[in-house]
Amino acid sequence: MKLNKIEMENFLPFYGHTEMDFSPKDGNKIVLLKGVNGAGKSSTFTALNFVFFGTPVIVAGEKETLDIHDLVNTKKIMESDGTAYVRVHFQHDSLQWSFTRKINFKKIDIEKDPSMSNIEHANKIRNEKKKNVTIGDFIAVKNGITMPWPSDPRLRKNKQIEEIENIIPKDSSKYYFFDGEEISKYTTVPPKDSIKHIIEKLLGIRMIDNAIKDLTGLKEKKYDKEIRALGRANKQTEGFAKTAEVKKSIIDMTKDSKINKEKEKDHHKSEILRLAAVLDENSEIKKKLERIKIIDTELTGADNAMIAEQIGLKQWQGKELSILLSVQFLFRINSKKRLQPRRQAHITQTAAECLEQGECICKRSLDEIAKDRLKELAKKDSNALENFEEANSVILGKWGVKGLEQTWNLHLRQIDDYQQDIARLTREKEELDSVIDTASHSSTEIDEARNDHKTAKEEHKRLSDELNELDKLIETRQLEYDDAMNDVRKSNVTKPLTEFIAKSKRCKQMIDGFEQTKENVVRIQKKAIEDFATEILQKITASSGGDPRGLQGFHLDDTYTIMIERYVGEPQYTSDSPIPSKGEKQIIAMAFVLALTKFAGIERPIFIDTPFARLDNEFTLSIANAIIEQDEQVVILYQPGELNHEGIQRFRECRASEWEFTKLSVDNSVVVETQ
Amino acid sequence: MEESRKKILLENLAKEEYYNNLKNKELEIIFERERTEMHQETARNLEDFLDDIVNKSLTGINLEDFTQEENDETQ
Repeated sequence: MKLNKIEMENFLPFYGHTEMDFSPKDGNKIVLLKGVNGAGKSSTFTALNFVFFGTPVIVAGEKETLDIHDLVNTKKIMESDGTAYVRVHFQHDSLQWSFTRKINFKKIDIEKDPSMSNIEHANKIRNEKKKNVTIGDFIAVKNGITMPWPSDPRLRKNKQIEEIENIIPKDSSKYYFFDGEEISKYTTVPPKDSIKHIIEKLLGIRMIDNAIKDLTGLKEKKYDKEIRALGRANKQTEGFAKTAEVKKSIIDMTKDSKINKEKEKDHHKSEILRLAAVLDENSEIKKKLERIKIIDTELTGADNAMIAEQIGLKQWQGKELSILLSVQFLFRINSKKRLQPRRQAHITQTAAECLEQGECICKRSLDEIAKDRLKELAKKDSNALENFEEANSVILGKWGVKGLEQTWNLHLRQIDDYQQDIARLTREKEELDSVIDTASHSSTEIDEARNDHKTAKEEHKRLSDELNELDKLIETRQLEYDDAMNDVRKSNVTKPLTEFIAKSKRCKQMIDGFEQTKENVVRIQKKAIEDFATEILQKITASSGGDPRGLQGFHLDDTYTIMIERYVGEPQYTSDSPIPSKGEKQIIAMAFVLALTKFAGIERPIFIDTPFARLDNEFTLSIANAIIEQDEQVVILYQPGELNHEGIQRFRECRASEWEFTKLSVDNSVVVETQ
Repeated sequence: MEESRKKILLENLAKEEYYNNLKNKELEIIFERERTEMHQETARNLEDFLDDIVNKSLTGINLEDFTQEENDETQ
C-alpha cells in the first residue's frame, strides 16, 4: 500500500480543507513533515488511523487516545453544522483506492463565562461536542468504482473490516508509527501477546494455530469421544475403551497443569522485565545523581566566578569611575568647541554644574572619588586647564574612550554570562531533583528489587525446566493414549466405529500438516527477520567495530522477545547485564522495526516521529541511510530546531516532498509544501 | 497478507497435503476459512465446516483399508 494523497476537512486542527500529496517523486519516497509541537504533524497520522479503522487509535507512542468527537475541528463546530472527513488516496496491489470516513456534526453554541477557567471552558466545549457529533459514512472506491456494502449493519461492518484488513491489518497499526522518544521500549516491554500476536498474524501463523486448535477440538471432543463411547458399548472393546478414557483424563490433567505453569512462567517473565526496568531506572537515577554532583560543582564555580567578577567590577568602578566621569566631562567640554577660548572658565563651570546635578552624563551617581575630582576642577583658583589636560592625557593614554566603555561592558557581560550559567544549572538541577523525587526508590526497595529479580529469574528457569519435563510427559502419555485407542480400533470394530476412527485419523493428518507448515514458515520468516535486523545493526554500528560491547547480531526467541549478540559473550536479553544504553536500545529497536517492515509482509507507509531522539550523533547518518535504503514510503516528522541535523539533511536530499505545518491558533493549522 | 508471504505458506501447505495424502486442497481451504474468520468479531465456530471437510476428504476411500493402514503403521 502506497499513499498518494491525504485530504482532511474540519479534522483536528485543520479548519476547512487541507490536502497533502505524498506521492513518490523521481524514485524518492521520503516525505518530511516539519512543524513545532501542536502544529498538527501527528494529526496526519491520527487521520490515517481514523480513515482506515474508524477509531482514532494511538497518537504518538500511546501517550494519548482520542474519541470521535475530539476529532472535529472546534472552530468549525462553533460556527455551523457540517461534516468532518478524512480521505486517503492510495495504491494497493496495482489498484487505485480511496477511502473516505466522515463525521457529521451540529453547531454548538457556547459563550465563555468570565468566571470559568480555560480548562473548564474547554471541558464544556468537549461535552457539548460529544452530544453533537455522529459517525458518518465509510466510502471505499476501487479503481473509480464505489464498493457496495450489505444493508444489514452487522454484515456491512464485517464486510468493511474484511476489506480493510486485507489491505492494512488494524492490529499492526502500532507498527506504522514510531515515536523516536519511545521506540526503545520495543526492546524492553515484554512482547507478550501484542507483538507476538501481530507478527504471527502477519506471517499467517495465527491462522494456522487457529486451524490446529479447531481441528484438535473436533478430533478430541467429537471423533475420539464417539470412538470411546462406541468402544464402551462393544463388549469386546469395552476394556480398551476404558483404558483410553483413563489415559485421556491423565493427559487432560497434565495439560491443565502445563497451562497453569505457563501462566506462572509468564507472570515471572513479566516480573523479570518489570524489576529489570526498576533496576534500570535505578541506574538512571544514579546517573542523574552523579550529574547533580557535577552541576553542584559547576554551580559553586559559577557562583564564585560571578562574585569575583562583581568584586572586580566594584574595584574597577572604585578606581576608574573618576576617570570615567572625566571622560564624560571631557566630552562635554570638548563638544563645546565655541567655548575653546574660554576653556578654563568653562571647565570650572561645567565641573560645578556636574557637582550640582550630582550625576554624570550617563546618569550614574557621583561617588566620593568622582566628587573630589570634580571639586578640584571646580575651584576657581585652581589650574583647571592643567588638571583637565592631565586628565585628558591620562584617560586617553590609559584607556581611550572606547576602551573604557569596552572594559565596562566586558565586566557586565561576564557577570551576565555567569548569571545565565547559574540559572541554567539551577533549572537542570531542579528538573533532575523532580525526576528523582517522583521516580526514586529507597535503597531497601532497590535491594528488594534486585533480590526479587534474581528470584524471579530462578523461578522462571525452574518453571521452564518443569515445562520441558511436562512436555515430555504429555508426549509419553499421548503415545500411551494412542496405543490404547489403537487397541480399541484393532479389536472387533463395528462400521460406525470404523467411520469415526477414519475421521479421527484424517483429522490428525491435517493437524500434523498444519504443525509442520507452521514450523517451516516460522523458521524461514523468523530467520529472515533476524538476518536483516543483524545486517542493519551491523551497518549502523560499523563505526564502533572492535568495541567488545559493540552490537553484533540480533535474535528473536520463541516468544519474539529481542535478544542481542555482542562481539563477545552469549546472546542476551536487553534486560541482562551489560544493559544496553538508551542509544543502543534505540538502534536495536530501529533495526527490528526496519526488518519487520521488510519481512513481516505488508507494504505500508511508516511514520517516524523524531527519529534521532536519544541517539548518539555518530549513528544518526547510518540510521538515516538505513531508512533510505529500505526504499519504503517513510514519513518523517521533525521540529524546525532539528533542521540542521545531519540525519534530517540526509532525508532532505532524498525527499519526495516536504510539508511545513504552521499553527495559526489552537484550532487552525495550515500546511504548505516547501521547496 | 502480503503475496510473497502467502506464497511461502501455501507452498508449505501444499507440500504437507501431498505428504499426508490429502487430495482436495483441504489444508488450503481450512487456512483460507480461518483467515476470513479472523476478521469476524463474533466467536469462531468451525466445527461443522471442519467436519464437512473431513467427511468430503474421506469420500471414495475404503475406510477399512484406511484405518488398517494406520494399524499397520503403528504395529
